[in-house]
Amino acid sequence: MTHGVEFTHVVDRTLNALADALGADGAALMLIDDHDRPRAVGGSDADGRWLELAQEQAGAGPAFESLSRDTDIVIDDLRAARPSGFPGVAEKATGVRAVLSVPLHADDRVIGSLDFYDRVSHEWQPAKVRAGRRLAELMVMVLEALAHKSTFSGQS
Amino acid sequence: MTVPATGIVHQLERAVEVVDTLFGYSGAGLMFAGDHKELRYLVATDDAGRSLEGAQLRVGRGPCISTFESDAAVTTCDVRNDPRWPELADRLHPDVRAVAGVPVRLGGEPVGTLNVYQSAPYEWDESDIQALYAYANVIEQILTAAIAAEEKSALADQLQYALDYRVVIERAIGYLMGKHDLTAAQAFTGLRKQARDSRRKVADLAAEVLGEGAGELR
Repeated sequence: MTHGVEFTHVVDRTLNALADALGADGAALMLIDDHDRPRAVGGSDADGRWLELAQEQAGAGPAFESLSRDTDIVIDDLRAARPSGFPGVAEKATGVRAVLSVPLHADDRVIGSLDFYDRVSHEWQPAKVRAGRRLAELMVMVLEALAHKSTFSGQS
Repeated sequence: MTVPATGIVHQLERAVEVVDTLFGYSGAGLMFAGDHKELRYLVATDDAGRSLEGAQLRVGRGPCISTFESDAAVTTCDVRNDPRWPELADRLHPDVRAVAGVPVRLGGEPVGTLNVYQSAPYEWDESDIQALYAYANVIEQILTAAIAAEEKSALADQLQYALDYRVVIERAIGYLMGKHDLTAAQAFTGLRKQARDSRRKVADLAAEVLGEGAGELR
């Protein structure tokens, strides 16, 4: 892995760009560590970083659901009662309302989750969910490049 | 001769494919500046996209070149009828009409352009341009990550290799079109699939195809 500071900067700038591309207020990243624990990695802004930290501390949230079920999780309002929302996470991530969590895949396994979020609650349109899924592929490309995986220096 | 790996190019191809499919553009492409700052195409999603970039390279002008030179977004709602580039129309695939390009930057300096086109005249709006800038920013992060992971010179070699070997790939596409009665898009897709299936570089396979073709003619 490359130097941590460089990693963090590239990840945060990528999250910013992906949020812009989707038209979301922000994006944040959770990755599974070497001990199979989901860990908060970064966010396009402070709200995003809080969203990931709150989930990591609670051991629950849309990113966890996305990771464990290996599917997109759409949350129209994080403050809603379970199972529609995650009020415990919302208490700490106060700036976040609507969340779309998309699993990240590399080498046919789930390596983490990409969260897009908005500061107002709303229903996520299917087209936006599909777009989020494709944008997750770009996040994986950046992570692969940072990790200098064999796929990155492989075949054209 | 050791051929540099072209992993970064593969990554960029995948990134452009995502851009192309996400919001329903007719096609997308990526041009990069070569050793002498001349803009050359690196990735194009289809035959029409290649004609857009190839035509500009031949006449030395066009929306993507203007994008690079001005380091700003350039759009045209119908490039075939745009008075800024009257010499382009005859050289373009008929499906290329509306074109938009934004600069791809590295460290604040333009190093290439991300281009998209639509097959019918289209008025690009601010949201289109903002989305394109966002994608160009993602591409910058892919390049930045690659530089962080590899020697910058090795990365430059990979990009230069890809730019140089486009000629070989183009010739192989032409050969396959004639031999199997394929469109350029079909020939390119087949070539790329075969290269991926056999875990080889497209350029190496293209060179082999041309070698076999020359053998048949002898």
